[in-house]
Amino acid sequence: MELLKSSNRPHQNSRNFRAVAIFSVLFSSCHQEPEALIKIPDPLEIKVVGREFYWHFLYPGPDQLLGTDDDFSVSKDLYVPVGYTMKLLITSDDYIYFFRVPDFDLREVAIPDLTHEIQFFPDHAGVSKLEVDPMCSAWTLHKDGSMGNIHILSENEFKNWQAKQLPAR
Amino acid sequence: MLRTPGKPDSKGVFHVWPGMSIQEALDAAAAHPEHKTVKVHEGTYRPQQHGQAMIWLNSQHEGITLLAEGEVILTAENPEIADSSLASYPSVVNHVVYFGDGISRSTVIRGFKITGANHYVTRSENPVIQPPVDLPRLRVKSFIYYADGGGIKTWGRCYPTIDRCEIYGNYVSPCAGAISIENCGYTDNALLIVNCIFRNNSSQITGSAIDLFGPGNRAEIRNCLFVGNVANRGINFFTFPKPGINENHGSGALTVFNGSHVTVDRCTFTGNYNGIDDAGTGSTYTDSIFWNNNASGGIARGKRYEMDVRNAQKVSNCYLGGDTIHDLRGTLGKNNVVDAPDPEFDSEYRPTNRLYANVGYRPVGSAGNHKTHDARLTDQHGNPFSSSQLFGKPWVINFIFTACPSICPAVTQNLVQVHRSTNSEQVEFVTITVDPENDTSSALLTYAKKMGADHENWKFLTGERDEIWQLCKKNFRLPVAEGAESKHGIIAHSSKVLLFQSDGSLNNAYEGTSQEDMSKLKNDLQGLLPQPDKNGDGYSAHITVPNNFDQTKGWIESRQANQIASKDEIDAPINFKFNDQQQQSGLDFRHHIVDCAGKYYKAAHYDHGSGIAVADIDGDDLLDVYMVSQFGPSGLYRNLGKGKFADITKTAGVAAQESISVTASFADIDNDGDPDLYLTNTLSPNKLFLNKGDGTFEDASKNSGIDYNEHSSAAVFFDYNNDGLLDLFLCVVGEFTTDELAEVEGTVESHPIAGPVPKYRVAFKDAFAGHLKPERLRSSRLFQNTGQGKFKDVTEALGLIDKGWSGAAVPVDFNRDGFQDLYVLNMQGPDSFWENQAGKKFINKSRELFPLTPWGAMGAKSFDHNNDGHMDLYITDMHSDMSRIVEPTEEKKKALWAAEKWGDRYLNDGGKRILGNAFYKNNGSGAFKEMSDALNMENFWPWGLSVGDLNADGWQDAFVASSMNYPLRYGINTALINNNGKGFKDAEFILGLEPRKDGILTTPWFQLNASGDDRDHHHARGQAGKLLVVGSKGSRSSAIFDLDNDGDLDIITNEFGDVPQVLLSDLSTGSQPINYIKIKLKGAKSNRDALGARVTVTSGSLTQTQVHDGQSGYLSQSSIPLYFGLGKMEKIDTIEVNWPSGAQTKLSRDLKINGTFEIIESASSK
Repeated sequence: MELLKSSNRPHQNSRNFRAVAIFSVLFSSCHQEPEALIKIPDPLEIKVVGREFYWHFLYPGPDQLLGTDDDFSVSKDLYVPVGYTMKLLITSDDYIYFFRVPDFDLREVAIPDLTHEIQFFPDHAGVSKLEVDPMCSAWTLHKDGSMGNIHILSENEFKNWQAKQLPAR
Repeated sequence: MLRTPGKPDSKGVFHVWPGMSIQEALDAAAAHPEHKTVKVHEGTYRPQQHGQAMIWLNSQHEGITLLAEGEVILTAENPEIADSSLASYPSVVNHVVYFGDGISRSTVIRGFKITGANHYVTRSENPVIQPPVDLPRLRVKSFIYYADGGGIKTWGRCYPTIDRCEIYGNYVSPCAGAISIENCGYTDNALLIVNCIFRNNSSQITGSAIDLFGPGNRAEIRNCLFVGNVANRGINFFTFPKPGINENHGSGALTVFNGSHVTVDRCTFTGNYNGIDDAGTGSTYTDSIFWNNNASGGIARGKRYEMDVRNAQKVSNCYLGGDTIHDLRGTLGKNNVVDAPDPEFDSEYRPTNRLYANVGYRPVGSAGNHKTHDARLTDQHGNPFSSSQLFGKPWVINFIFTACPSICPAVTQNLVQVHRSTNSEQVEFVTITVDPENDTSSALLTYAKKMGADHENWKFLTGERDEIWQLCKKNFRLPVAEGAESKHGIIAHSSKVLLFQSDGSLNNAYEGTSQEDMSKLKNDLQGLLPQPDKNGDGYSAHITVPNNFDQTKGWIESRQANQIASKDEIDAPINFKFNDQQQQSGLDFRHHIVDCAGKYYKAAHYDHGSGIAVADIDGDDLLDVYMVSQFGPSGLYRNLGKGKFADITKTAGVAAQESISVTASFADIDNDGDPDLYLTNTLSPNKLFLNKGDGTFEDASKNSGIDYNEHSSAAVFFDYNNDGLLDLFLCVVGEFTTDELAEVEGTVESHPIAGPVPKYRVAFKDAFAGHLKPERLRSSRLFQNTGQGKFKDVTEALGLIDKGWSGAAVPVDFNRDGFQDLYVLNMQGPDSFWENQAGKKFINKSRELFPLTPWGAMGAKSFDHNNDGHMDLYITDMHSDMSRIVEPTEEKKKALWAAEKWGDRYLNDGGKRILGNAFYKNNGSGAFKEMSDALNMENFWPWGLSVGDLNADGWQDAFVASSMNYPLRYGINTALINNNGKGFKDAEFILGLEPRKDGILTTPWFQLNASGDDRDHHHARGQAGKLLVVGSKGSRSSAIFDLDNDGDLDIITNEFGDVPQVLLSDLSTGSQPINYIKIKLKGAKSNRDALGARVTVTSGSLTQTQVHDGQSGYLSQSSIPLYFGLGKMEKIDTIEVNWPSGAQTKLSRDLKINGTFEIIESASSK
């Protein structure tokens, strides 16, 4: 039996979600911008890649374009800024996974060689779970019951975090 | 391992290696009570003796699966034993493979290369390949039985599955190079040929690849490729000297004889000597490609063809193209595409032209590629499972193991519920164990029963662990691994459930433990099932938008009743009617739209439609018509007289189907006496076609200087500097499109567009806020004609910088200084008036002369409404009607709500505006009075207008093309009859212009695949199958002229997304004779068309003035003789022409009426 081809599904309609505040995490407001902060593009496109049972996230770099040499990546936890439209491009390198964030009612299937786009608009800082993709009898996988978290940061905090991910100049 | 073919291995498979006998293995499998799989390993296998076939399967071999492992070539050739003196050398068998009577689809041959047949024929029955069959039609074997079928011969009740074979290079005389199908009338079933390639086979007579000879044969052919097969290589000795079947053009790669039929689906025929000749009855051909079956090598005299089908049951969604006759008998019907463009096949014959995305053959893992063989799977009853069983149905698959202590039981239970909700004939459920060592067939059967699964129809499969794990991970991309913590026998694997469509592509994935997902699976599965064709037109449903269409069209009836009841208020003659004769006229043009106006609707300027231009292009005194299409080819129609037209687009060379087109203008640009054609486009260069004088045109765009590339709209040809050459004012709207290029998807199948089509730029979602964004403003352009079809951009030089959102403009000379001024419309703001300073400069006198103008001005025409000799100006305002949904009863109100709804910020005009149509009555002394309400000239959703004396009473009437389309309700066109200069009366219902012909107000707009790619479309919610979305009809542009030369004026409209209305007037056949005169002007010192000439006709007390400006309608310029109705006057006293050059002609003698005057400019004035 062969997997002949995967049909491309059309882009999901953009869904504007109002994030449900789960854990309100207070951050001190920062009046001074640290050095080497880069502008956040709006919408912010992040490539979400399932690989070996975790998610890996690719962000645009200082050129604000995804798919160029200055992109940076992080694994397991997703960081996003409040107040920006998020465009997640969901795919996989090996298996079929579900990308699910129940708190935002986000659900999309990650299939190798296909990319599906979902959008959401976080308007509250906080932390939410990236739901575990169930596997039968896979007890040692994701022992803490999650595949990672999604951290919604204030704009400045996100910029700081972003700056830390970039290679030192 | 035992390597004799007569004994199976431990798994029950018979193996054959090169040097061994395949037949021995087949016979051994036939004799074995249980094991029926024969695997032939890589190598070339030749017949070891002369005979009818190298290998044969008859009723005793039923149920055998014959598989190739690696590249396995079965050839008819054996040079060592062949007789080199024979023409058939080196082949030694009639057929490479023979299937005889008593074979069903459970007998499978898969993955072989079959070649070498070379018309060797023996009738020797040694060995016996076909035991005698005591049935009436099988007692005797004919010559055809022995000779037809080089690669494979099938005979009698014989319906094997032939899968993934490549059958090539076979030659046979008489017929069937690759496969001969001879059921002899036993057609309860059909053999299945799937995923095969037929390459370079040939035959003496018919069926170079496949032949169904004689009555009573069937075949099902799916996903196959036919390339390079050649029929008719020699004379037809059956019917010699007559040519026989298909006398002139010959036979094809597939020949179906009378009394037989085939099902052909998703196949590609290319480069053969003819495609298909089907003399049978009841075949179906679907989703297939026939491209350039123009090979040579046969002896038929006629031209090659793609399909010759006499009596098919259905031919649908087939694409035919190439240098051949496409539909030889003209029988294929409208659900196919002829003149299809090049599919641009890659090296494996996948079409790369996206038009072909869903049709034709696709390779599935070629024969002889040992890396892609099927996993060997067995079901819970011990039967071998073949993936070909899934072909043609949606299927659901998941992986479990029966000893699972975790979630597999729950998943299986969930699927049991889903399975129960489906019709098991229409879907396949497949569950595969990841623990095959323990999960034998009987263990799976026990499990299935325990779970309450329908184990008759739902396949629980086992096999070899390596193959299954490979299948799971690499093919289905689902993880599987040894369980954690070394728990013996525990296997970690995915609990996902996958849904596949009938074509083998993945539809969706679901979490097997989730009730919500299982519910979704149930719905999605329903959506993939064949939907009832309720309307008999292939659509599962029609969706009419707006959906209350039928309930709300009562307003049309009441308006009709009211208008007819008010007939007595009209003094002007109205006792005549218009009749839509489009169907009889031959004007079979269809306007097509881009998806921004349809499937992916957004409020943007694409919905403004396209123009229509009229001129006598070939000098035969009949007015021809050019219809502009937004998408796909525009159409030039030659007037044949008596109301008939012929499509001459191709020979004229003016289809321009590579552009998204807007307007058309006919004008004699090079003063050579024939009308040239200028076509404006959205974001591709405008086109200038110079008339060669014979009705064909030369594309002179490139060096013309007017191949301007922008969001172009109306092109106004006029002579601004009075040098005798027509200059061009090109209206440029503004940037309403993004950079995104898209292909049009929504075209309705029954209205296909032949030939190459462009991508188009997707519009901004906020296109109608463009006037608020300075970066989207564009300047209209003025081009000076420098002679010989060349132009120079003089916009800046003449100071005519107009950045309004201009769709249209009119040339006028209100100050009578002999220089044409321009009234330039702005559809999203105040209009502009540019006064021509002696041809040297234009100055903006907008607010001086027209302090208030319609905010959403769309179309305009200058004419003398009350015969006072002064040219008035009528502006139609479309956009002001768009601020909200307006009920029919409110239509006549000036758009009073627009200011309230939109506010000053959106209107952006300093608070000064007219919201609604404007009629500027010219009082003769340079001042205008706006009188649209007083004269009853307000209407709803107007685009533009055509002016003409429809009742020939000497007063100019107006036809205002008005409408919107999907997704809004229907809107009527307005006919304003001039009531003797005292105002206008609505008469569209009285004159039969409304309601439309047969009362049909809707038209197919676009279609959706609600179960497939379009299931997220908002119209597809809750729907399944192929949907037809239906929207309102609506006219955009029009032209008034005497179409049939009977003396009265007719109307043609260009409808948005539809065929035109060809509205013929019966005025001239009424009881009252009509009086009229037509005047054709020919400039000498003035431009040849005499555009700008002012003509006054006096007859008794009736004096009429018209200016010849070519402004025939919205987005249109034409070259039509001036028509003057004379009412009751039976003679003309004087005709006076004031030429643009300043010369004057006055005629007062021998002025016969009811004909055409040609007046030529001369230096003298009398």
